[in-house]
This record gives sequence, C-alpha cells and structure tokens, in this order.
Amino acid sequence: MGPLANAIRTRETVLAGAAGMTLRELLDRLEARYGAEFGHRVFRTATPPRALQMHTRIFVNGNAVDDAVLDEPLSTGGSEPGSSDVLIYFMPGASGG
Amino acid sequence: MAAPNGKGQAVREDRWIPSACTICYGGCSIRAHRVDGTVVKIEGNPASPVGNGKICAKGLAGIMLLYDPNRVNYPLRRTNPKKGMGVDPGWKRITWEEALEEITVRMEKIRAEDPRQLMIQVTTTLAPSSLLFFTFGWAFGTPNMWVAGGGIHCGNGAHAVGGIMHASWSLVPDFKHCNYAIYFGASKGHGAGHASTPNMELAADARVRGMRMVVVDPICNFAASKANEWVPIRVGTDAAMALAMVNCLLNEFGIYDAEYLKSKTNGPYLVRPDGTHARDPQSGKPLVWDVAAGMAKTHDDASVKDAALLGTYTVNGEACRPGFELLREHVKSHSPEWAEKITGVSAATIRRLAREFGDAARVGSTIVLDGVRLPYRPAAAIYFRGAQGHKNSSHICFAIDLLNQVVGAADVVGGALGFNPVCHGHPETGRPRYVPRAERDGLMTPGTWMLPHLPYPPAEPRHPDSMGFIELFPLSHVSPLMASADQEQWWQRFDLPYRPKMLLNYGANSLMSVGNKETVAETLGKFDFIASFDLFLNEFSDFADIILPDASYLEVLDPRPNFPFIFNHPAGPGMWGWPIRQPVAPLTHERRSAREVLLGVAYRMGLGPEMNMALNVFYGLDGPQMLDPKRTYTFEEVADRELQHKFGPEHDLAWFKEHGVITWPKKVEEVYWRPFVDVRVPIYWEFMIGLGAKIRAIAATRGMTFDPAYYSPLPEWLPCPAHEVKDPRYDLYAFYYRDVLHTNGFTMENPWLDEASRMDPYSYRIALNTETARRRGIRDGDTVWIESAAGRRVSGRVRLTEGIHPEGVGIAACAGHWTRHQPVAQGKGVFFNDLLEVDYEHTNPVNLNLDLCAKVRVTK
Repeated sequence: MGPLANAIRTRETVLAGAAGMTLRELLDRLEARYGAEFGHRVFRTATPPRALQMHTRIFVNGNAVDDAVLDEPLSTGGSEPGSSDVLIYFMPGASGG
Repeated sequence: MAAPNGKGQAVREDRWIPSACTICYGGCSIRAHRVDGTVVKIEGNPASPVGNGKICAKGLAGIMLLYDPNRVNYPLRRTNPKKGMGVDPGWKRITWEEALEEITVRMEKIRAEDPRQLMIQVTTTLAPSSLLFFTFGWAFGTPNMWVAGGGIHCGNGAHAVGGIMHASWSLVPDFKHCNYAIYFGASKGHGAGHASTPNMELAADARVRGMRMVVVDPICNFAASKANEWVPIRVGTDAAMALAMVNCLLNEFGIYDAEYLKSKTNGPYLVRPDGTHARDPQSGKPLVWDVAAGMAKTHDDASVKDAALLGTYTVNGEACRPGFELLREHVKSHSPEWAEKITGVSAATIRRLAREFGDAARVGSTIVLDGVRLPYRPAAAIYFRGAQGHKNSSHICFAIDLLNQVVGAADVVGGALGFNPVCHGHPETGRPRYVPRAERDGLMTPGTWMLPHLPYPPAEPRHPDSMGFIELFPLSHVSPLMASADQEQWWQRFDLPYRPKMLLNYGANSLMSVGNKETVAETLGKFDFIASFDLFLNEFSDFADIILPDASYLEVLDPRPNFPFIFNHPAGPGMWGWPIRQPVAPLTHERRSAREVLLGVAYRMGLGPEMNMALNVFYGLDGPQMLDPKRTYTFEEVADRELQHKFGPEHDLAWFKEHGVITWPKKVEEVYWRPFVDVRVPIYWEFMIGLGAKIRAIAATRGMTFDPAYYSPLPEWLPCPAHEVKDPRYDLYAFYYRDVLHTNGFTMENPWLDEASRMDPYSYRIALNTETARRRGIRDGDTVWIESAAGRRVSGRVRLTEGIHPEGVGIAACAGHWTRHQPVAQGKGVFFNDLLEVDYEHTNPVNLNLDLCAKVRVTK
C-alpha cells in the first residue's frame, strides 16, 4: 500500500506457496518478482543478514510482525478460520521532509 | 436542584472535564470548568503526572483561543487568482461540501498523475498530534511531508543525537538526583517545550534541593536567570567549549568512567588506520582487545575479561587503537585556550567547569534505589534549541553529550536522562512496551521513535525522490529544501521527475516559521492549489485557495497527547500517565475537527484501505483492534481501538472520557535502564565514514558538495556562515530564543499573553548589551535596524541589558505578524526569521538543520 504500491506499480497480488513457507522466503520471492525497489523498501540491507526495514510495517493475518518471526513458518487462516490463506499487508511509513 | 448562576438563572451544567493542553507541544494535562456549555476556567489536572495539577500562563490563556472572535468559522474560497504577500485573496464563504468536493477532485487528479505532487505541511505547535496528518500522506503515497519550521529550527541535530545516545527525542537532568547540571542553549524546566510544566516543578525542586546549575548561553534569560552561574558564550560556538571540557576531563584531570565506557559504549572497539573498525573476518563484528587474553575478540564475546580503552594493538597486520584512545587524542588539540578564542569564554572558566562537572559525577559511586544497587553519576550536560540551532548542529550535540558519556552519566541515577526510552507497559496489559535494542555493531537503536525512520542505523543513502532530499541524508528529519531559495536548482540537478502542485496544510504558518518571507513566498507561489486547516487567517493564508475552519485543541479528541513517551512525558522517577485530549466545549459555527475531515476525505477518495492501514501503523494497532481495511470508521472509533489496544477493553474511550488519565508507577529498571539493557552507544561514530562516502558519491555527481569534516567520526567545531563574514561592519550575531510567554508565532494573537508580553521587557523588544549599545549611541527604547550581511533587515525597539553577550542580538519567539486578521498580534515584536537565509549553503549536510544565526549590524 501507499508508496510501496506506487513504487512497484502493484497494489495486490496472489502467490501460491508450500505449507511451512517462511516470511523471509515469501519476501524473497516478492523481491524476485518486483525487483530491488521492493527489496529496498522491505529489507534494510541488500546483503545478508537482512533485517526488515523499520519504517515498513508488515501485518500477517492481522498481526504486526518483526524480525523475530522472519524465519518462522507463516501462520494460515488469513481469509477465514481454518483456511490455508495467509493475508499480508505492507504499509510503509515515511518521515517526510 | 440546580444552583443559580450569577444572573439568577438555574445552572443546568457545572462540570470539570479532564483533557490535555496543546497551546504548545508540551501537552500538559488540564481540566476545564464548564458551566452551561461555556468554559470558564482551565487549570492543571492534579490526577495526571503530566503536570501534577500545574499549568503555565499559556495554558491558562487557552480559554482566550477558544472564544477568540477572530477565529475562522466557515470554509472560505479565494476569489482573487493573484497570489502574493499582502494580496487580498477576496475570501468568499462556501459550504463544506463545496470545499471538500473541490479538494477531493484535485487530489484524485494529482494521485492519478503522480502522488508525489502533493505536499503535506503541518505545524510543530501541535506535535505529536499533527503527525497524524502524515498517515494521510502514507495512504496517498507522497513522500513530501514536513513540519514547517520544526526540525530545521528545533531539533534535527538534537533529536538525532538524543536518539543515538539516549534512545530518546531529548534529554533532561535527572532532577530528583542530579547535583550539577550544565545547560548549553537549553531551558528544560524553565520554559516551553517538551514536558514543560512537569519539568518546571522538577527543576524548581532540584534547585531548592541544592542542584548546582550552570547555563552556557548568549543570553541570560529563563534558565540562566535561575542558575547558579551564567556563562555568556559567543553565538554558535558551544561545540568548541564542550570539546575543551572533554579534553580537560580526559587529558588534564584523568576523569572518566572506564567501566561504563568499556561495557556501554563502543569506546573499546578497535579502529584501523583508515578510521574504520577492525572486524572479525567471519562475522564482520567489530573487535576489541582483551587485555587479559592478549588477543582481539568480537565486542560481544562473553569471554572478554578486560577490553582495552587505551593502547595500540596489531590486528590483521594493522596497528589498531580503541575508539576511546582516538577520542582522547582528538580532543588534545582542543585546549581551553583554543576554545577561549572561539567562544569568548575564558580558559580558566572552561577548565573550572570541567573540573566541577567531573568531580560532581562521582565516577565509581553507586546508590541503592528500590533495593537495587545502581551507578550514581549526579551530573548532566544538556543541550537543545540554542546550541543545536546552527549549521554544525550534529557535532555540537555530539560534543556536548560526550561530557555525559565519558563520566558514565547517561541514563543512570543523577545523570542525563533521555525522556523515557524504556517502558514495560501498564501492569494489566504490558502495553505500551518498548525497549532500546542492540542493532548493527551492537549499537543502540531506540525502542520507539517519533517518526518511522530511526536514527540508528541510518538508512542507505539514495538518490532523492522527495522534494527535501531526505533519502540522500538519512540522518535528517526535516529539510529546508522544502522551502528554500535554491530548491529548483537542486531538483533540476537531481532530475526530480515531478514538481509540487498541491499543498495541504494543517495549522502551519510557514511564511513566518521557516526563514525569510520572500524565499518562502516564492516557494508557495509554485503550488497550483493550497488548502489549509486553520484556526485564524494568517500570513500563510494569503497564498491559500481554500481555508477550512479547524477545531481548536479544546474542541477535539486525541487518544494519545503524550505518546510516544519519549516526546513530552516527564522523565525520571514517578508515575506513568496516559491522558487523553477530549472536547471541553462544543463545536460552534461550522468548525470541524481536521482529523475527522481528513478521514472523511480519504474515504471519499476511495483511500479507505490505505488510510486504515496507515492508522494501524501510526497507532500500532493489530489483532482484534486492527482497523479492517474494508470498513470505514469515525475518529472516535479509531481512538477507542487505540485505548483498548493499550489498556484492555475495560479502559475504552468512554472510561477515558470520564477519568481523563490512566496512571501506573514507573519501575526503577525503566527509569535508570542503562545497566539493565545490553546495548552500547557510539562515542566514536565510525558509521559516519561510510555514510558520508556514500552520500558524497551520489551528491558529487550533481554538484552538491560538503566539507567532509561534517562526516568525521569524532566531533569538531565547525563555523557557521555567520562566523565567516569578513566585513567588519557586520560585527554582531543575531539569534532568537523561545519566549516563555509564547509558542513560536501561534500565541501572539492571544490577548492575555499579549498583555503579559507588553509588561515583559523583552518579549517584543530586541535585547542588546548595554556597553555595545553605548558605543553605538543607542539608548534603551530606541528603534533600530538589524541588517544581515546578506542585506535582510528587521526593525524594532531595543532593550538594553547586561544579560546578553556583548556580540549578541537577542530576539524573542516568532513575533512581528503583519496580517490584519490577527489584530492583537499585528505589529507586535520583531520577526527574527526574516533575517535567515534558507538554502543549502546554510544547511547542515548531515541532518539538514538550518543555520539559525546571522551576522548583523545594528543601526539607528
């Protein structure tokens, strides 16, 4: 959403992934699809270890997440309880100026 | 039975309503006495630690803002297409629907073309509430948002250094335990600003207790007049004095806290001959030299017994030295005698103050609080607007803060405290919870921050995408290039692919709050369309196309007037308090809360999902309280979710409206957190080397250059442009100071404060040293011209005083309004900012702080 959507010219996308996929794996796939502009806005560095940008908040199934869960399997139930969907929002803040 | 009022009529309502002041950004807790719908008195709320029932003169006078007959009451549309200073816009009253329809249509068009063409401008006076407006910018997709005047005037330097060294927006002495406080250009506890009223009480009690207070400042006013000692200093030279004091501590007196420096700073990190850290080849972590083992180890190796602070060690075939050793050597050339020539403060005084500060710190001592033995360093060095308001603001604040760091007086008992860098949350919910954490190289990053971008680690510099170039200067907050004389030149050189078309303003009067009016007027003239939420028509309004009548702080809801706690919640031991701001008077005329309007505009534009997610980010909402992107909400609903998210369902908005504030005790490990949190702070800013090189690599290709000294890892005194004026006719330094009676230019229309200001000898006059004036034949009360070396002029009456440096010209606040729409303010005082140049040359190339002094001459 916001400046991130403008930068990659996409507001919404659907990805199919195997059960147990981690958030990092998902972000890597999105970066491969949308390029460095996505990576820059989501990861703090271009090279490992890649922590998340502090000003881009990521919500997984309604919960704000941070570096601590980057390598954990994504929880499902995004569209409704019991579903295998994962609903993820990206919302970058900007300091302005 | 209803009691009779003074007119013999029955009183139907007689209530005290808890809320929060916002006549400055201190946000002190208040309660308003409302009788039959009319507010008849405002006083402090004794139930809240944000003031403990105390309130300043400005807060008391807020009632005059509420009922000011010159308020804007209806939406207005300009009819005169010509814009400019003094050009009558030809205001015509329109309906809200007409106003919102035009604004929405224009914004939809801009968003479709390029959302970066929208600029959002907010006032610093109402921060942090005004930052809510940035969420609209996030949702809209523009990077062009700024606090007009804020940042470039108040804290681009101080806030960044506060964040890097104290995980906080600003710092104060631990008033409860500090025995020796030295203030550099600060008035914490003696004037306006962050947690102003609580700090006044704490500072007064500290002085009664015997805290010695030394104020280094060109003018002896709010803080200095109550201090034990005033040290007049040449404007903009504080870094030189601080560096000389650090030199005295380290090289003359040998006073430093080795244990603190080893465990809580990067002082032991080894530095290679090229200035960068020696690193472990595998992990990339900085190395320290373990004296006991006789070998280099990573800084976080638990087996390190004794990390060296001094000496030279061979690592990876290179001679490396600890950062502390380099600091000690660096300051050797900064003798008190050297500093005397720059500052005008005698070497003996500098040496004496350094000795007093070092002795007062009682390095090595401990104290038991709440059964816990803690480091006890009852000395603090404080800096703020006066010291940091210069081109070299980053090094000035860094140099001053090194005084705290070398004696270990940082966020420990008695020392310099950041404003609440640690909070473990309310006992029932554990929220809000934040703690600084170790980031790159084990160095501290704040647990919470006022803005999305944290000060450390700095982001990778990038080719600029915003009008202000903050992507290129990641240690900046706010950029003067948003309204600078040379902005077009830089936009062209950096191929900025768009130009601003529309400005959405919330309460800022940028024509007065940034710099000289001609430059700002020129930048405003570039917008096709300006819409502005305002309480009063002002100088900026002359450039607006639509004016929207805003509700004042006494008419609106805000669920978090004092959060983040690092901004305006009192620091030190005591109670946590989370008050709300709520309407204490009904909205009249056609005034509306700008928050509600903005939310409505977002929904009207189809930006609901983005706006709701931006609000989720701003308020930290998730889980059951997360705003559903698919729904619409009123601002009351958003506020209710924020409060329930932090304090549980039983503490909802209705509970807060009745009680006003929730409180709980602070824990010793929250207040004096430094021993409890495994983080280090940098006394050697190695990261500046790489950062500066990366910025230079981008900037130099476009002809933007800067002195590499600004990016040196150790602080240096660097002159302001004013110090380099060679023309002997310009022999004085003009500066402004924050008047305790006013909040920038915002309160000048308030009749009560105007009355007090007319009784005050300085509020509306120019302070000039008596002897300086005598040599020029100027007498007390004379009208004079202040003319800058760049040819800008302001006029006013002088007040002669011994309480100003002989080379200083002191002007209070942001006065000198010329708009006829503020008849109380019109023509009162002196418009200092008109002397300021607004361009890259006068801007700090690290944090984009604007230089706030001018070399001038004074003539009758």
